[in-house]
Amino acid sequence: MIVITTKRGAQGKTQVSFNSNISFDRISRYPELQNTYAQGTGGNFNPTASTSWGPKIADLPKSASHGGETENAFTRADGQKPGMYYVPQRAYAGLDPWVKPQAYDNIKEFFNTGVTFNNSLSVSQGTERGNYSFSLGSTKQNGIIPNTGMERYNARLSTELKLSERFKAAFSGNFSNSNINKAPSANDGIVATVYPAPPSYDLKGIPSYYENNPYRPNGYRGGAFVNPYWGMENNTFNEKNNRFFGSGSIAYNTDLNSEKLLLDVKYQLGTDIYTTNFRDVWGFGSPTRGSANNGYLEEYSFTNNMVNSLLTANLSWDINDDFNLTTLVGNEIVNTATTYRYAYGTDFAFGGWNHMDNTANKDASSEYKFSRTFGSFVNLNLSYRNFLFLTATGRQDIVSTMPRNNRRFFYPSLGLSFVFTELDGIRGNDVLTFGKLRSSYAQVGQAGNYLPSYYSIPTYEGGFYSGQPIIYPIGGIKAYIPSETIYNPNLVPQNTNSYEIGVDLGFLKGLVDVSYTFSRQNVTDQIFAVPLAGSTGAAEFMTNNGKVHTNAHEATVNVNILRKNDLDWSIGANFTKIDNYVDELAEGVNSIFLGGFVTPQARAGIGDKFPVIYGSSYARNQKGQIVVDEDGLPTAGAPGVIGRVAPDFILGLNTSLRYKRLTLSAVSEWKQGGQMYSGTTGLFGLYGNSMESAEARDKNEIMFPNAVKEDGTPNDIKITGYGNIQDYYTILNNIDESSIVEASFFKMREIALRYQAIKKERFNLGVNFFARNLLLWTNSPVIDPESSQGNTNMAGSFERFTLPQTSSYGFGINLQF
Amino acid sequence: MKKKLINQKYLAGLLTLTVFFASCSEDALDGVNRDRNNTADVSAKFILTDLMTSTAFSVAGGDISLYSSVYVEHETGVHNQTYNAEIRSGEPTLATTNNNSWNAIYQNIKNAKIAIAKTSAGGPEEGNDVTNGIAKVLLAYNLGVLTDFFGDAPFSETGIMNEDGTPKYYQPKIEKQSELYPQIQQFLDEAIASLAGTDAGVTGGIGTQDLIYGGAKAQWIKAAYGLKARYLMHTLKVSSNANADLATILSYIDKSFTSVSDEMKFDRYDGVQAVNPLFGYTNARDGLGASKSLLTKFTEYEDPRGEPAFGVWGSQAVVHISLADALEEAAPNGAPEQVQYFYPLCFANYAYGAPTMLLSYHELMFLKAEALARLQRTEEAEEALQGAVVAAFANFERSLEYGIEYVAQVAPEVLDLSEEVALDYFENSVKARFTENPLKEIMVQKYLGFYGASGESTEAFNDIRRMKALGEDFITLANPKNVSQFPLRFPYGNSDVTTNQHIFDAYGNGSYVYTENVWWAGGTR
Repeated sequence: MIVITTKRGAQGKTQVSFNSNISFDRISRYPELQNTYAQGTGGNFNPTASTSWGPKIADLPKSASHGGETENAFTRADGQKPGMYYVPQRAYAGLDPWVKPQAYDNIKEFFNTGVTFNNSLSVSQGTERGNYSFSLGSTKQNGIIPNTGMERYNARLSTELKLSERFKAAFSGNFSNSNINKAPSANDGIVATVYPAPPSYDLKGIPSYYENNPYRPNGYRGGAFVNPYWGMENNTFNEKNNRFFGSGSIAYNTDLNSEKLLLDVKYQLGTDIYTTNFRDVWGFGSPTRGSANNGYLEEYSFTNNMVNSLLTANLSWDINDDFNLTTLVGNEIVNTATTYRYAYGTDFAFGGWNHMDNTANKDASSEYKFSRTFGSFVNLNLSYRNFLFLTATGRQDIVSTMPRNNRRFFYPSLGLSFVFTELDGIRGNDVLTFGKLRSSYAQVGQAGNYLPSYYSIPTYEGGFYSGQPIIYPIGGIKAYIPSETIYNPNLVPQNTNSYEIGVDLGFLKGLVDVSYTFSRQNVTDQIFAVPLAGSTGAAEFMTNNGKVHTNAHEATVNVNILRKNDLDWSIGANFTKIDNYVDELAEGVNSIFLGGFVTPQARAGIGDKFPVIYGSSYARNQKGQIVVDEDGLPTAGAPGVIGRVAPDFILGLNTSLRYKRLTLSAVSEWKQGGQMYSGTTGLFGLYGNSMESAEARDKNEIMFPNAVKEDGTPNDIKITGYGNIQDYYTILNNIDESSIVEASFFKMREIALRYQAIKKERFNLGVNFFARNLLLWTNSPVIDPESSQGNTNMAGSFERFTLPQTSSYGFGINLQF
Repeated sequence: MKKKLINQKYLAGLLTLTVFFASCSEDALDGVNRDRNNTADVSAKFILTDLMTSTAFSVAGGDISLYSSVYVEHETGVHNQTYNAEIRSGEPTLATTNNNSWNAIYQNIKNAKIAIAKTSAGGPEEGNDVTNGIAKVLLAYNLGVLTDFFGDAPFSETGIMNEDGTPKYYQPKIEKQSELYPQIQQFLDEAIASLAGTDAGVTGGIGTQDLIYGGAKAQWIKAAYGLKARYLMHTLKVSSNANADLATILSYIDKSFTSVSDEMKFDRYDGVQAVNPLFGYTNARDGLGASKSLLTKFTEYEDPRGEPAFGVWGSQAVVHISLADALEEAAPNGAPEQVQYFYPLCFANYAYGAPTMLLSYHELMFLKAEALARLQRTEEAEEALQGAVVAAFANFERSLEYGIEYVAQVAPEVLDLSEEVALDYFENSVKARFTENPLKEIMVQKYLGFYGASGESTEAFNDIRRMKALGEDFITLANPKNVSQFPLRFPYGNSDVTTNQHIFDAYGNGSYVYTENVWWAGGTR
């Protein structure tokens, strides 16, 4: 059920409110990386290596192949260049290739300070005949990555009109328009070339393209990993969205000729219509994109059209002085139609015009989807005086997206709360001023998406390839194969049973508030796409697959330490502990796949608090100790659980201090426990960017810690020699477990200062300053543990060159008259 | 006024109710949820089209050939996954390494079984015998690659569905290679029988949906006999009567390809809609460098293929260098530096249009030469070998031409691998060694003939393991890791290791790839 609530104008004069703020974003945590060792491998400089396993930057002039002080092809041509070395990329760009070596801070130089402007204006008024509210808003953001950003405009109007004593009509409408320029993600991502850039390479200073050829990128590594500066100029990833949602309603109320009854009947027709247009362009000259690096573009759009019909009747009945009953019955119909259109064009004829009409080969497809839901519901609320409240609801849904005969499902709920401080004898107690006990039971049904088995055009993507190496039709010939996803024709709706008990207590007339809630959710017939063994011939099976349960404890404490006319001070804390477990899985299913890569993956399995990270582990002995081989290197053991994601608890703290018109507030969060897969952390070792890898080279020694040798004695095998140390990091990175990091953190979420400069009856002016995500303490070695990717199922457990988190600083004003 | 409005409301309510009951019946909702974007069924020939593409691109010519090329030292792995394969860290034992190939093979097996069921007696396309026969050839092919590379593996429970379309077996059981191998021959025999018929079924002949032979059944029959020869040759080590098998192999070859125009290849890579898989890999990843041991062989044998084949990255693209220079700079097997765009590479790696050979004419001629040599029919063997070398030269030349066209900044001055050059090489280099040890020279030439962009490292890896099993140390490999870590097979695919208990147990930690031979190489699994 979609309930659109809108702010309506209050009765009286026209009210105008204007808000404006600006904020500046910076990366919250720059990884601390080595700046001693140059691009290369095995201790030798190599200008196309992706790794920083070269000589010390200071020693580059002595490089056998590129140094200015040695005998090589370049000094033979140009003569000896003491103190300098030859950088071929500088030559390609038309610069003097001979430079003095130095270390560059490529990451700091690449990212901008992002800027966000927000402005909003609203006007509202209420009259005897009704009310209206109208607002306009705009947001403009320049991202921390060059050429990325967002613009968004929205307008909202809502009105309500009294047609007569009994009839009311209302309308509300929202329109928004947004335009977003994004950076590519994952392996195509900007971060994947910026973060591991060798410190010896001048990423910003050396032009990103060849002299006289802007469509030939020039960078520190080849292949699909394009120079990020060139990429941001030539490749664009744009998303434009237009959306309207709103509703009109007509309501009728009557007292049915009784003082004790009140009936409201309302019919509302709503809609939500949006079109999102995407345009992804790999520009002319993009390495590996299109045949002969000629680039390609994809243009695709989703048009979604949802219509919602809602009829409700609400009867309020004051049965007697003690009992009140409200009853709501209703019917809801939601009809959704989605159209997807896709067009692909490859091989631009020439540079500078990355347009569909400039492509040599084109392909297109489209998709149409419809769904319909009928819901019928009844809610009963019975109250006894003002301390006992009983709520019961029931809803039946019929959904089109389920298989025939499994479309209808009913789910009830029941709640009881008891304000015991209203009882005679307790009421008026000076210490315990408010006390409430709550309990509830609720069932929620959730439909899945079922399709009868079908055939589709095979696609060839992923693996080692860039883009699509095979696109049907081949020479005009099409092909079709059975879908890799198999749907269970006996799919039934997922069912969640929630039980909740809680208590709210107020002490000393609002000085201290405490509340605690325990809830348990039992999910049965969970709908998931279960990954299938390849040997079945299919990839996944959409089915109901077992039982999971969640235990959640939530507690809050708020203390109003000071409450004076000119001085207020309050502090609050909220504690959350949420634990998820799998109790049972369908036959043949070992675990639920939540997300991730081929390896590692985020999973839920029986017996583990989920999600867990599953992947290749270190080989261990019977005692569970990691065993190293005769060279002191860990080896891969059987794949298994290598990380536990669920935190022990999350504790939020907030405080607010007001002195006259000045308010200082702060919010912080402490997440204790949990681990994550940080691909970046592991790859910094592999690429030779990490501080640890430089220290190992400086000392010419590294030892795999906390392990035993094959004979069970503690590992004391020191790995020495530049090449062996590099191999150590290569081998480490081949074991997923080496990239598991701790992910506890304490963050200062926000510190804000607000000053109400003018406060009059008809005129208010406030200014505010704020800083968000200012301080971070974490046991994650390199990254901000909140930098993560993937869907919510994975609970932020995966990260691999993900776009970094930001800290923001800003200020704003608000004006009301 | 008031009354009128109420009436309208009732009317609206009535309308809503009418719409409600009319449009939430099961039939109406079936209509709403109807899949408008996919077809519920297709005839077998459309399934076979991708079975061919996938067998070529994802099975014979894709990652399997890529990793094989590293293990047999056609290439040296110099970056990331191929580097790890080269130094025997991670990749050779990891279940993820060949997961895509594993899944592709099984998808092909399932699709072939569906196509066979559709065209068999009682199926909806009964009477389409040629289509049925082609599906059986491709089923045999995928089964062959599956068990050659992964040993004991699930097969019969793959793609078996319940009435309602759900898989009957979620964790297919493992079957012994010794039981799978006879089935390859059986499928090929059945294919030959079916191919003798016609496509008389309602959906018509396969025609242009056949991307390999365009529906020419005579050539499919030849291909089936050729494959029978290949797979029988694989089992020489475990044969109870090797000489009889060799005679049988020769009889199969007699019924197989008579010229290059018959060979079983996927020749549909146009560089735009479809690219050669080695090109696709090289273009995106550049993880292969010229193999020192291979270039040593080219140099030793004064093989004309070595001179025009190699180049290094220059300021714009790849600059041709001489074989001597390429050997000097070649990536050492087992111990290269991990670096891209550095070592010399073969132009063929950029052969965007080079066909994937599923069974080349030169392979068939090499098989013939091998069988004859093993039967001491040396003179006939020499003739077959000569034909094989000529055909292999021509195929390699074509690959080099594609690569040079695509990536050469400086092309080789001379590229001539014509029949004349091949025969000259045969006379002046091959012949002397052939005279000394016919079988060895045949296998060496086969090994060199499989080098290139046609996905034939796949079969070279089978040959190397086969020869090791027979104690025939004909091909010198230089990777020092081979002392204890020559991969004897590929690890099972991750999708099964993580969901199929049988495979999880059999996989362990993956180290079995170094210790357990497949059945036909003298092992037990």
